[in-house]
Amino acid sequence: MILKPQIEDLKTIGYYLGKIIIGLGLFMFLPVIVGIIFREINPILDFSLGILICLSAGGALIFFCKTERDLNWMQGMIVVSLSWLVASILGAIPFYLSQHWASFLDACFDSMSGFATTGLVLVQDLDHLSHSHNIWRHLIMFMGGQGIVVVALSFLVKGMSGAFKMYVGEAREEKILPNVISTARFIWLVSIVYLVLSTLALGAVGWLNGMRPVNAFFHGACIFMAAFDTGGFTPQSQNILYYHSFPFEIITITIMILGALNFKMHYHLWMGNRREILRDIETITFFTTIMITFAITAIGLERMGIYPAPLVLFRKGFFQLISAHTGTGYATIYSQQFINSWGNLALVGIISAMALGGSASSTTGGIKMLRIGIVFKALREDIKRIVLPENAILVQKFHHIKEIFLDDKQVRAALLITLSYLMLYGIGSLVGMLFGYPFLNSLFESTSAAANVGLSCGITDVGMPAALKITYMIQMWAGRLEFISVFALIGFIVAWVKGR
Amino acid sequence: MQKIPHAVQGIVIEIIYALAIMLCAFIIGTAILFIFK
Repeated sequence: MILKPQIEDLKTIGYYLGKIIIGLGLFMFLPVIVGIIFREINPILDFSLGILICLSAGGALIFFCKTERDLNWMQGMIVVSLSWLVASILGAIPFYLSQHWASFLDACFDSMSGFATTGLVLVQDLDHLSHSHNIWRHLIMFMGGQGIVVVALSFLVKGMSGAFKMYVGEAREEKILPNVISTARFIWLVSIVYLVLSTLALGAVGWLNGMRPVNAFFHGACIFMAAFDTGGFTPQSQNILYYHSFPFEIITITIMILGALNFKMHYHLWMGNRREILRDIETITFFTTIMITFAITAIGLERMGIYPAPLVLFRKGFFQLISAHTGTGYATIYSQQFINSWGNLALVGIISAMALGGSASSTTGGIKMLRIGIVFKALREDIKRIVLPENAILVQKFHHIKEIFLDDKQVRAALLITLSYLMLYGIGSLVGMLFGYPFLNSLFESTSAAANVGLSCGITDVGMPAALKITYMIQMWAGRLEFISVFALIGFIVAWVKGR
Repeated sequence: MQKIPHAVQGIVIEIIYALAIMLCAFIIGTAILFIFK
């Protein structure tokens, strides 16, 4: 028998959701400050209205749902899945008011794309968007990469037990420090340190290349936020191609790779455990899959004969590959070139890289390296079992920060999530094909949305059907939360309808 | 106080890891262009 949720459950969910909405409203003060600096009157009004709506909605939820109860597992998961949906809608308000988005759905699409660190865009005339709106695009990507709930945990949530449940619901099953709030703060520390270093490096390169200093460092900060959080928004419509700079591309690749590392790995390396990077299953799998998918892509590109020089192959082929593998979505080619010039084999390499993703507990999307590593480890052990004598005892272990015994439960969990991702990629492709797009194009775009990558082969456009926009939005949301919280929300709705 | 040098070392190692990936990819790309020519 399914138990119907009680009114107390709704109150607890509403109370914590209200806190997260307040947090979102407070973050909107940053674009207002940018607006004051750059003297942008209309954007200041857009964000003031956004702040007013967020603070009113959040305040009303906290007032009417006030409770002393801590979250249980189900409630924690539902708060997470709802907060991502609500944040995407509320975060879209300033976008829509700017009139750079054709409809509120388009504004919500870009907002979801930002929070989910995807990078697919429907914005029009990006090159003339205000600084305030541009910083908001990158800020929501930064918040999404950190995890909206991680942001709230750092500043607004006091209860430890409820905090951990929301942290897990946001697809970050690994605690770095014993206390989950300290973990959230460590994630901030890493991001802020790299924000300063990378903004200086990118800003200096931009400045040396002839950009005005203010613009160079503004672009540096924006590019860092979207690269480290493997999002892929840029302040210019030409993406990274705009900068035409090899050093800029090398720094961006470095940031993308750093963003794809597990925060737990960052912690152990920063604490002096230098050898971890050579022993961990994730860093080894990440290195291996990059090399395999790049080899496939490079062979495909060589067959097409479009990048005959090694340096050009690296700048074009490897840049898109690492952007796909880390789930960033930055590009140094135009989107139509994937279909018109790259050929099927190179596209298969890129799609595979997008599907695989980066490390667990990082800002990337996709299946994740820990799961791929575990599945391959299990496969290798099963083959060994067949080859070795029947009475041989096999000890199955892998190294992920510490030595871990491989058991069937871990393999089952890894396979289930892998299967869910493959189904999500497939469903999106099917919807794309229903609207008349070719198979490979549909698979490319669907994988890009569901794995939160953001590379586009040209389907994502203002003119695409509204149903396809909604499909991609659902894919971005489910892919970012790694299904568990989404399944919990579906279960909650079923219990509400069918429960007694 | 020992935390800061460790963190700096950690940052350097992470950057070396990223550069190693780039170098290996460049070698693979060059080899593929050379072999399949």
